[in-house]
Amino acid sequence: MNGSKSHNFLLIGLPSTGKTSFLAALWYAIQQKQSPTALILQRLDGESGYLNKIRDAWLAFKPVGRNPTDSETFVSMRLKRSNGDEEAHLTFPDVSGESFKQQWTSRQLTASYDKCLKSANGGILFIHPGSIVLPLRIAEVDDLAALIDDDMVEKLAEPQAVAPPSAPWDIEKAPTQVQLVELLQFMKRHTHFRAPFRLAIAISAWDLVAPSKISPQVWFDQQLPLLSQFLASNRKSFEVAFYGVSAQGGTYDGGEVAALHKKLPARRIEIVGSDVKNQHDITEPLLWLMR
Amino acid sequence: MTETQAQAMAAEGPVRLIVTAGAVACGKTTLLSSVYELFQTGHVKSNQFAGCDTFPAFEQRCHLSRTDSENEIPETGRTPYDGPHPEYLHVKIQDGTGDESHIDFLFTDVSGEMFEHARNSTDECKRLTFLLRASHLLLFLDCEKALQPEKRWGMVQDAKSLLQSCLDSDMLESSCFVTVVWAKCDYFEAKKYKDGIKEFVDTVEEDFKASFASRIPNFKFHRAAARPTRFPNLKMGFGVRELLVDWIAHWPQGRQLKLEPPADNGGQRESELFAKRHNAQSATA
Repeated sequence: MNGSKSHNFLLIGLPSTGKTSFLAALWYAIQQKQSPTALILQRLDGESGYLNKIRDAWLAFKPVGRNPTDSETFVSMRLKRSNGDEEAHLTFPDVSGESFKQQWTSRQLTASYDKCLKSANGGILFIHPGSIVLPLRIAEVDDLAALIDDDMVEKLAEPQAVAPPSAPWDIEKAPTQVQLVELLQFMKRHTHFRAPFRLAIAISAWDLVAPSKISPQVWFDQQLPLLSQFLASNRKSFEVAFYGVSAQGGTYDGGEVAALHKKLPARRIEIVGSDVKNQHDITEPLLWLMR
Repeated sequence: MTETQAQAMAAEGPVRLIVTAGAVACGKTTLLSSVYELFQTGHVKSNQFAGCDTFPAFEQRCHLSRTDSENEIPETGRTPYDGPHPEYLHVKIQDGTGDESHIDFLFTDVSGEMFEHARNSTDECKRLTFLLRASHLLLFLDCEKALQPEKRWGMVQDAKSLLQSCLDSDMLESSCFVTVVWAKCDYFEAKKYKDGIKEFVDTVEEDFKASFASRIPNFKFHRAAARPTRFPNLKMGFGVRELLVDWIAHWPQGRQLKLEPPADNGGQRESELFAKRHNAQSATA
């Protein structure tokens, strides 16, 4: 093999953030010839049943399914640059979102994830715009209500009658940005963490955000300010690039799927962000990680 | 974070310890939570969030003020009394845009009962060993109580007794910055007639100064409304940003070591002679 490099990239993300959809679209994109990609499949290597299964679902406009907690599938791809001989062996542990959630709730890493961290030399952090839990304060909601109703200011200042009991605190419902900072802190504290760690931030389902005409980084800074500050103040530890990724190309419900039917499968994929040259090339974040 | 964990963190690198002291329900935990909540929405002044080792503890404390709690009115849970060792909360910030100029803050979250014991007994106060490591001590005066004639002077006297006990039991380093915080000052702001309030505040501050200013070199007063429900125009974290800036600017344990001998030293050691020559050269240059 000519100068083949091994890369172990982590796919990081809470449940339902688009990790498996990304893998499914990637597995298709690197094997097709209708739409150019910077990285292509060099050869099949070992087990690819899982990748084929999720790719088939992706091609059939079906949800790719969620990776259950007890199944940490390791996928491996032997790729090469389409415009050169450089080869790369990529391995991704497709760790379930629930596993990442458990890191936050139980404060422990699974043995297999711990092993992945040891060998990881980059990662993609997935964030889904539709599943962000915000740290919503009661006072904020009241402020908004007061904007609508002037009398609300006085009502809010009045002492209330006996209030119903509060819902108990549930660690699982903590804000997304808090959980993600904690995941990155766990990584940073890991004995084998090598700084600077390249981290591509992939905002999945970008088709939901695209109409707002803002860049992925601006969207990220606005929606997840705590995480944004954390990354900005830990530049020596994390080197980041921002991408908006629509692996499906749109939602599979209603009329939108009919529009997707008309496109070549690889052209369903849309990607924007840091130095993206080809808006349909899902391998761009990987290229940046391999740099 | 436990006492042991806090000490381990302090052993690894410089940590600024901020102690919040005051009676039960005077707003200590609410103020600490508001520091964390402010970073949830963006920079605080020119400072940005750089890490936290006590996320679950902060989240738990913020819960009753968030919509998830299903409360109609934001609240803060009461900090339980559990012996003389506090629970610590941690926030790491980056001061300005410097390259990873991180500052670690540890905040004590202590029940009001603990300070009641310390107020009533110097022996009890001596058990609060964390006081000796404090960079800043925030002594809380509750503005809600200050508006209740039957409670206001008792509240002031309790706070004074606590400070007196800390000083008389030698648990406060002279370098420690002491700030008397008029907490929940939204109660003051919400009052239509403020003349009586101003008179009361002036009297209390004069009394504090007369009693303690000579013993505490860095002594001042501040107003804060971490969660100003009585006067929402003040906005969340009123006065808290300024406290953060103060904690960054003043760090008694971090002052320069001044290892260089003074220029006018009368010593004959080589280092002292070198200092004289070096300073003479610098002066003529």
